[in-house]
Amino acid sequence: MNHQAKRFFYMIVDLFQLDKAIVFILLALGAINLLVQYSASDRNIAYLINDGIYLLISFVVLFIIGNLNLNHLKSMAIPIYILSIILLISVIFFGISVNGAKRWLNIGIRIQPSELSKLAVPLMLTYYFSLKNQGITWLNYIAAFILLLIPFILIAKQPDLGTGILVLTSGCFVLFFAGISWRMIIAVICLFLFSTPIIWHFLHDYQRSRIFTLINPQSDPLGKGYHIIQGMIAIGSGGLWGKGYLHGTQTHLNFIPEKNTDFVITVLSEEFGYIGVCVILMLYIMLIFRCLNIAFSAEDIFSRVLAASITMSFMLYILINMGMVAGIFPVVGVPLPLISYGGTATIVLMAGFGILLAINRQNKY
Amino acid sequence: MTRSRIIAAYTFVTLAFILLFARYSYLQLVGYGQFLQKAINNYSSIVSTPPIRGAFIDKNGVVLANNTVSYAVGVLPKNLAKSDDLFYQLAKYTNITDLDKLKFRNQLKNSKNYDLVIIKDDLSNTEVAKLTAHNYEFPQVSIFARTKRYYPFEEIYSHSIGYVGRISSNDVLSIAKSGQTRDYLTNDYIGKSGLEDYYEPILRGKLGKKIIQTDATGNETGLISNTPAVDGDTIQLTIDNGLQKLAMSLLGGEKGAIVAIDPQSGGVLTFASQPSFDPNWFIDGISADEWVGLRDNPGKPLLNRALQSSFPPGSTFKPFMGITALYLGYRTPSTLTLAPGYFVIPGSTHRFRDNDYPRGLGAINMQTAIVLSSDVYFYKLALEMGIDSIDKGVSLFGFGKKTGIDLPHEVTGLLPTRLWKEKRFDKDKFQRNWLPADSVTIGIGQGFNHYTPLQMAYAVSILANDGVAVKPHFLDKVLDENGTVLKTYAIESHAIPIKKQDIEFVKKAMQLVVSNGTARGMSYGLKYTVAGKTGTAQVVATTKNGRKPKFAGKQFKDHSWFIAFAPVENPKIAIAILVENGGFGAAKAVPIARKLFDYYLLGGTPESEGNTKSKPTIESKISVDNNDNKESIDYESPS
Repeated sequence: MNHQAKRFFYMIVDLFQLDKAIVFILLALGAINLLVQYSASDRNIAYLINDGIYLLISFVVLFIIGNLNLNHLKSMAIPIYILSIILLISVIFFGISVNGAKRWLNIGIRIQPSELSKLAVPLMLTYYFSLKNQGITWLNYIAAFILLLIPFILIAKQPDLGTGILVLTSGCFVLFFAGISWRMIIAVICLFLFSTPIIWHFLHDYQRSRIFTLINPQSDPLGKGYHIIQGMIAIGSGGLWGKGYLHGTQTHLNFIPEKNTDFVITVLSEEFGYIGVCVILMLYIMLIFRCLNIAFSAEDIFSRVLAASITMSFMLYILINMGMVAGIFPVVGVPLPLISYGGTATIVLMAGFGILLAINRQNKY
Repeated sequence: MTRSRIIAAYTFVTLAFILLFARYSYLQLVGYGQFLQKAINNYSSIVSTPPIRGAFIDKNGVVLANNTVSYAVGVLPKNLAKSDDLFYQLAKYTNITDLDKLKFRNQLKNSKNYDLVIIKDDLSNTEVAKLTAHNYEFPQVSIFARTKRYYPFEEIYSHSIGYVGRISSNDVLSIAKSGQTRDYLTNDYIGKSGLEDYYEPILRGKLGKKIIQTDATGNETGLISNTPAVDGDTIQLTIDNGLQKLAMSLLGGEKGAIVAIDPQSGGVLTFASQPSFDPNWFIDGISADEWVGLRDNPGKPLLNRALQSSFPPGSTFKPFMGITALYLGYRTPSTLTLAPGYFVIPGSTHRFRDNDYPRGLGAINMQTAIVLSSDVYFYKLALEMGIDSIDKGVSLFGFGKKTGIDLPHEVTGLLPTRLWKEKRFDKDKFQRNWLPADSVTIGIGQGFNHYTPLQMAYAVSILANDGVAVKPHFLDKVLDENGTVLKTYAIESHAIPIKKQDIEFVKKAMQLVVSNGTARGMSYGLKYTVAGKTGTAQVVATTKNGRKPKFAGKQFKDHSWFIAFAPVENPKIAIAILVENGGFGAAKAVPIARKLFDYYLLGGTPESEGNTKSKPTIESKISVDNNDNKESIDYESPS
């Protein structure tokens, strides 16, 4: 056996040292993704193959990152952060405009740099705080806040407020777990509440109307309320058992907008009913609790903060997406993690879980 | 990391999942029924398929009204962007008139997404070919076949069968008022007049309902359920098509009406009114030019003279006066009455003249009075009986009442009573009282009374049928599409309380009218027996200032009446003929009757012209210097 073959062999062995529960749940979610995407794309095989390739790539990313050393991760924090900022700035100049929003870059394939920020920002902030593990001053918080604000502004300007807020919150989770004082948190919340009217002033009309529509979707059933109403009809009409796979009328008769991406849960809810929703929620719950468990049992501060932040961000994506589609939050462009179609998002999410796996592996040995 | 942060994280996660579970439980378990219904409403659309309207056939099975296939180009409202652009595109291949555009916009106003709105109907084969070949240029339109009403005999049946037309908002309103459900499409046809209107429920059938599945943009994606349309039933009429056509052609360029009834069954054999119009014009909306032409035509082709136009009966009223006198005992068949050249109401000076017999007829009995059509005899009789007795007798023959025929909008005509006059002239102290002179003029069928040709035919059919009144009707049988009889008309009849021998007496007198009297012009070579009575309805009595008018124009000539039935022993046909401005009663109407009877009773084409050419006839041309009748009655106005 030559040297390279030996390394490959150990790598395979390493794979089995990853946390089996997380890998299993991710595989299950991947399978559900393919199942639902096939239906949501109206049995489009080409689309499904594309989706499958992204999933495959994301699993490869999962395994690679899962097998990385924590120090490698730390050393990658700054380059990744800088890369994400460069990409976000490139979007301003070379971005592709869709429906008036410049969010994508074409580098042979189409990528969404803001997705990368969702991981780059917490990684950077955690790394920054891990350097100051002896007493974090308020100056450090301000520095961290600036690191956070740069990508947020760049994303919010695309405009993509939804993703921007998610990036912002992912950073806030880092601040929270890094130990920012409750007093400071309360102060920030108060500041936010007082500044709401000012933020409102800076919101785009379409963003304001989304909030209006949320309050009363029936006020404009064919316009802005249409998405919410049709989404709720799809979910509600699924009932307990659903209408059967590939038999969703809301889905297949095109009453659902963006059924492959943001509204994908309506497809699952309509065709698999409440049972289907329970299955996916249970998978999410198990995944999150397992991840939090890994986070809080990690030994070093970097691992704990990073793992907890990634997990909580993941939790937030689920809450916002499923809540938005079910009509309890405004419509913001947030995909359902691991189920919605979207190469960049899925790969970045898997990279996040890779980090968790790496942290877990590190804890064990 | 402090413990509080860990607890906060777990709390947040737990609350988030509780929130999601709660929301999805609410939507999917509690709201299931409501949302399912909304989902169903989302994807299902109702497409109605029109039934095929039942046909009309005559007693021998000749089709009088049926449906043809017509090619139309139409568009679903949901696919329509700008109608003007579409008109422009289509105009390359078919001529779209302003009327088409107007009709299109009217339809569009109240049509639903899945009602095809017709842009142009009755496309020629060439147009269909061109439009189909170029359909790719305007994919939103469809070229399709539809059934459309067709009246093969055109103007022959416009006043009996009537016509259908596109359903209007008024039709919709009246359907709603009658409490029925609206079973029509927006561009559907509905019976607008005549039998098409009267028998709408039988002819219509039921709309089919197809529930289709559509996607969010409204494209059809599948079929959910399909209830096929139930076609309407065919109606067999008592009409004899040959007789009807003959009647219409005999009236020809005249204004007038002919009603022929089978006295024993009450079945209408002929119902003709001239001038007429082509009902096919009305089906998809008449053009403005055609409409103005019909409306302003002095012949009033839209007026149904047989049903809605009433005229004084003139001397055709005399047999009924006579039978009333026998019935109420004012005369016996042998009673002799002196008939001088004029009649004066005792106590007055006005002379009611008998223009035909200015020297008088001496003492005559009732038979002679009817055969010779003596006016003075009936002046006297009328004055003697008075209006109350006259009403009592003649009303038995249906005068002044609707016959109840199966046609909408029948008029009652007028058999005057004291009460009627009081109301009619309630502001005029003198006029409001019934005057002896009023009775006198009614004695010869002039003055205040007027009846429709249908009423006259009904009256003579009661006489022919020996006092059994059979309600006239068009409908004979209702058939399904295979020709199976679903329903046969049940005859409605009642006997009037007049003795058979009195009726026989009057019938005999009327038979003599044809053999020896005023209608003898038709008796030459007659192969069957006929009983009849001629009559003249005055158009103008006097002008308002009481002077006799000097009119030369045809429009001031008197109307010519003839009522008759044949054969006398076993009547098969009773007829009333009115020729407006036909002049002396026998001249126009009597020869028409002969040809119709020959056709109907001898079963073939009528005998040649020469045989029936009228010989000199005696007619009771009446001129009443009636100063009382200050109102000149417009007999032509339909009520």
